[in-house]
Amino acid sequence: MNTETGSSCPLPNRPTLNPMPTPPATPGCPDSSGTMPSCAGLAVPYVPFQQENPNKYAQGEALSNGTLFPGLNLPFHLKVEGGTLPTNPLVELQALEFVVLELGLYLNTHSEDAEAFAMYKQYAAMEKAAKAAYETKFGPLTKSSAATGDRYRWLQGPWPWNFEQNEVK
Amino acid sequence: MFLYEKKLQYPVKIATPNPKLAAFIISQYGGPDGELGASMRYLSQRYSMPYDVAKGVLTDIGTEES
Repeated sequence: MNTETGSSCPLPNRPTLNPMPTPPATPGCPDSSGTMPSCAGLAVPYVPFQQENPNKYAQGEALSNGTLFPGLNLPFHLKVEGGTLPTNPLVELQALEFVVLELGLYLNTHSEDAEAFAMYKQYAAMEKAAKAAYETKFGPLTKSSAATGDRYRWLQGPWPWNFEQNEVK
Repeated sequence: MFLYEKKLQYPVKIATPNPKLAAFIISQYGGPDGELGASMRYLSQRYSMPYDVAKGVLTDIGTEES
């Protein structure tokens, strides 16, 4: 706090169209605590910035918790662990895709995090391989992959809302 | 436009079918204040968004909700 003026911050500047400022890193800040700009106003609802290189769940745990990041896992009803998911090829593919999706969202706001980008590439490659393996066994997942093989298999069930697809085989 | 993937994002197993609850859920999805409306708003807000980071976030959130 500035002891001369009684205020820790100058008056806010008028908004400009400059690129968004990168928040300063806070060394030693726990993983579940984000950083704040140095001069945040009083009595304003806030969303802390997620820090670089946050802890991450393994893919199955990420899917069942609904987030890749333990620091963002704020469960309702004080329920700490995500539900248990069945183990089958579809759930494994869903878990990989979820990690790729989460990393993509994280990288939108942390595009200079080289470690996260390396992980993004690694998981995208794993997802691609898992998807190809799944399609070989269970049929095409997209129209473009329906344009392969010996015949048109797109119409072959079960469709996703015929939920026996999701049961353990 | 969107590209359809013939699978769910998250495994679903309905133990007890409940059409009344399903009606509520589907209105949260496609109803007047539903996800689809929000999706279109995010995807349209992109066009006046000056920041690249927010262009990316609006694109991904708008995609997520549809």
